[in-house]
Formats: sequence, structure tokens, C-alpha cells
Amino acid sequence: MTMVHTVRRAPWRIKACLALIAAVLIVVIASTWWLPYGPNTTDLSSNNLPPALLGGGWDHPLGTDPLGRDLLSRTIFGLKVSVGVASIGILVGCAVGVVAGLLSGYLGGFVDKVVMAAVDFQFAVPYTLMILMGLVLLGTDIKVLIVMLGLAHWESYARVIRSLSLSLRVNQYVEAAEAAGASRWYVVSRHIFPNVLPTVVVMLTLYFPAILTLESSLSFLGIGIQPPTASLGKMVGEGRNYLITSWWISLTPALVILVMALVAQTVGDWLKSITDLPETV
Amino acid sequence: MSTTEGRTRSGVYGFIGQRALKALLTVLAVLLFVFFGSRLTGDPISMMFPEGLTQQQHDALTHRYGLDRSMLDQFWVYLKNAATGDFGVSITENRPVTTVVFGAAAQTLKLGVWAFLLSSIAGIAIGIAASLKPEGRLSKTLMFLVCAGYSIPGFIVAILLVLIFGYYLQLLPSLGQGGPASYVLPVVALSARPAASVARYVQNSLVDVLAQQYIRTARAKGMGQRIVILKHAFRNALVPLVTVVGMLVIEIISGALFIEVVFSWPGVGKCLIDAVLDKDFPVLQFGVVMLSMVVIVVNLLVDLLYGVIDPRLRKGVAA
Repeated sequence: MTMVHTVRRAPWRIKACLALIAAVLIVVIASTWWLPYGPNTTDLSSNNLPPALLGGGWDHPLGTDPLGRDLLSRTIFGLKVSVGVASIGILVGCAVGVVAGLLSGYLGGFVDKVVMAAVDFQFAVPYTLMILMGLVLLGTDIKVLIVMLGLAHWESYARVIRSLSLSLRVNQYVEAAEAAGASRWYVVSRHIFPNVLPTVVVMLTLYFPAILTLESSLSFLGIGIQPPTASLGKMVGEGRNYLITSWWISLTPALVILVMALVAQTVGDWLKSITDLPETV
Repeated sequence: MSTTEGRTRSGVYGFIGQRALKALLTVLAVLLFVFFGSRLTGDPISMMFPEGLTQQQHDALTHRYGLDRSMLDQFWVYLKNAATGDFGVSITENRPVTTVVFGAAAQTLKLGVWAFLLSSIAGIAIGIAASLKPEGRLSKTLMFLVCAGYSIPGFIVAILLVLIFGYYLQLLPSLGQGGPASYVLPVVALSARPAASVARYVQNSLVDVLAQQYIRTARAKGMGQRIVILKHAFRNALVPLVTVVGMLVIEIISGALFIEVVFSWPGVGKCLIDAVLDKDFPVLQFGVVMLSMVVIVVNLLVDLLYGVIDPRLRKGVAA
């Protein structure tokens, strides 16, 4: 398989990053069945404990917060929430962008004009501002949040997929299919879509860290994932009032976000450098 | 944004007119988005008075704000009010939203100017340093830092700066506004991502330029490294310097949304986040309209400057 080959030839730091991602995924999936403590289980008799290496006990390796919730359990659970929200969201946004791009590129004409006007608008206005509006107008329900986070880059998918399908539809096999009387749906689903799929996969990898970052930033500010659900950004925000006395409450999830963002970016940059993606991504 | 598409008229005025028209249409689209967003997703009166109203008060206000009229009429009134600078009154502060948002924007500008200077200087310097010997250890270290600055979210950078310099080393104030020292941490936090973006951009274009024939010619003529870089390479790499300026403005604005809160800096970012938390819709909608307009105008200026610098673009020749 080509994928195995690519990974095998990757530099060691990429391999390390990929191994870390695999480890995170295993821990996150395993946490569905087993966590040291419940992420929201409070125990006021052992609150504000420092991490084990700083004088706390191994009962709570990363310490506890002011409500006595175990920070290791919360961090793992928060990681799961953040990764889950970003994964579902990015699929929604990608689907919207890819469909828009295919329609606009293959059908052309009026559809193309409308889609490209929307894309231009989206490029001209910072998406964060639109999310803030959306959060007030539509509420902070998690489903709304997931969709809004995911839509963050729909215009990039639309633009890249449009230009790809523009160049694909002049291929002879497409013309042959059309001449043979194939329906538009058939041509798009059998001839255009399979050819843009690899690009879509690379773009998903590239935008995943951005979505994760956006979610943690919003949750940190208290306008993303709502309490009591743990999310990494939320935990950093909750610990902000205790920076002087119990700084580890914020620091642990902050470092997890930092490492995740850095690792994802490194892998994304590498993927981009070994594939030939259109410039604007 | 594509700069070569669909050009029919040539000449400077046609070019400027077309760009300006596009920017104007985008502003109109933002107003339309904000207006219909607020009308379609709920009742703006209850949105403006979250604490609740009697039916009678509700009807009176509905009539007063013209909400019983047709959507088109309402949008016309909204546009007229917007043109005269009347965007409503803040729910939480009971002042015109324009006063609230402009006041906050002035505070952001104080940070933004320094962040702009710091990130452009640091970004260009790092970009040049990292492209001299792309395989050297210095370049690799710098590019790792750039990758970090680019990918790590601003609020994490801010929290780490506060923890290290504010609480652990106790060198710098980490909250609120005071003397010059209180600017240091917010400005550094706000500059991290824009500086990294600029460095990435400069490094990318310099590496491209350094591979060009005329650089080899200059080197073959025996010119020193400094002259080659500064006179031949950097000038050409920075033809799109304006892009960098536009990029910086946009990134500093988006960064301020998440970073000011950490430092309790009373700027426009904190103002908008507070507006979201308090459901102060009038403040939020004006903030969104204003910041979008800033971004649109900056993009317009960038487009126009491109036309000035690179005549191929305004003449409609494919670049």
C-alpha cells in the first residue's frame, strides 16, 4: 500500500508525531470504557491537590481542581470531547464545501455564480465574527456549535474542489460518459468525486487543528462547550481564577492543547509538502 | 482573492471602481447577514430585552421599531439608521453601541499598533534568517518556533506568558492597564501568530527568489551575501509586502478576540466576548459590522496597492 510506504519514508519526527496521534486516539477510545474517576465526580475532601510529582499522591496523578474532580480523568475526557466535536464538525463543513464545489465546478452557469459569490463573501469576512453572531442568535447548543465550527473552512473546500472539477470535466472519459447519455449525477459521483477524494482527505488533515483550536478558544472564553461537560479549553478557563495558587489546573490542559496543535500542524505541513495541493489552501 | 478574473475594462479607474464596488457589495452583504440573521432566528425585541416584557410593552416596542412592517421596509429603515450611525443602544450599558464599541476599539488600537510593529519586524527578521541556509540548524530551530507560533492558539500563549512572567518570575504585570510594563505581555501574546505568519510568508517567497537566475548571476559577479539578500532577493520577495500588511491587520483583529480576555484588557475583543456572554445583541452586531468593515477596507487597499505595484494586474493581463 502506498500509505504505508509514505509513512515509512517519512522523517523521524513525523513518525513520532504519528505515533503520538495514534496513542492519543487509543487513550481517547479506551476512556469510553475506563477512566480513573468520573470526569464530573466531585470530592470536596480532596480538592486542589497538586500533581503527584509536586507533592500530591498517586491517587490523582495530575491533581484535582477546586471541586475535587480528578484532573487526569477530566483531561482525557476533555480531549475526547474536543477531538470528537472537531471530527464531526469538520465532516459536516467538508461535506457542504465539497458538494458546493462539485456543483459549482461541474454545473457552472448560475449555480457557479451563486456559490462563488458566497465563497467570496466568506473569504472577505472573518469567520470568528460570524460564529460569535451565531452563538448569540442560535444558542450554545452542542449540535449548533459542532455545525458552526465545522463550517469554518467550507469556502476553501468549495474553491479547491471547484477548480479541480473544472479541470476534470474536460477529460475524455467524462465527455465519453456524457455522450453515452450518462446523467449528471452519474458523472459527478462516478467520474468527478472519486478523483477529488484524495485532495479532500489532505484538506481534512490540514484543517483539523484549526477546528480543534477554534473549539478550545471558544470553550476557554465560556461560549463554546457548556459546563459541566469537560473540554480542554474550558478546563484552562476554569483554572484561570486559580493561577496563583493551583496553576496546574490550567497548565495541564493548556499543554495538551499546545502539543496537539503542534503535532497536528507538523503532520499537516508534511502532508502538504508531499502532495501537490493547489496554492490557496 | 482572485485579482485577474473577469476584467473587461482596463485602466486605473476601471480597476479601482470595480474593486470598490465589490467591497461595497460585501459590506452590504454583511449588513444583510446581520439583519436577516437577527430577524429570522428569533424576535429582536425579546433578544434586546432578555429579562422579559409584558405583552403590551412587547407590542408597543414592536410597533415603535417598525417590526410589524414588511421585511423589505424594515431592511430599508435599518440601512437608513446605519447610514446615520444609529445602530441602537447597548442593553447592559445603556449607551449607544457606537460609543461602547469605538471606545473599546481605541484600547485595542493601543495594543494593535505595537503588535503590528513587533510582528512585522520580528516576522521579517526571522523569515530572512531562516531562508539563508534552509538546512542549517538555526533555520530549523527558527522554523520550529514559527510552526509553534502559527499553530498554538493565542489564549494558550497568553496563559503561558502570564504563568511564567506574571506569576512564576513575577517580572511583569499580567492584568489590566497600567504603565508601559502592562503592555508587554499582551503585545507579545498578540504578536505571536501574526509574526509567525509573516515569517512563513517571507521565508517561502525568499526561498523561491533565491533560486532565481538573477541571484545566481549576482553571486557569480562576486557580490557579498548581504548585498545579494538585501538588494536582489529581499526587494523582489517583498513586492507583495502589502499582502503581509493586510494579513497582519486581520490576524491581530482575530487574535484580540481571544487574547484580551486573558489580560482583562478593555478592548474590542473583550467587549464582543462580553456581549456574547451577556447576550447584548446590539453591541455584538455593531462590533461585527465594524470589524468586518475594517477587514474589507484593508483588503480593498491591499488589492489597490497591488494594482499600483504590479501594473499587469490592473491591465488585466494574467500575472
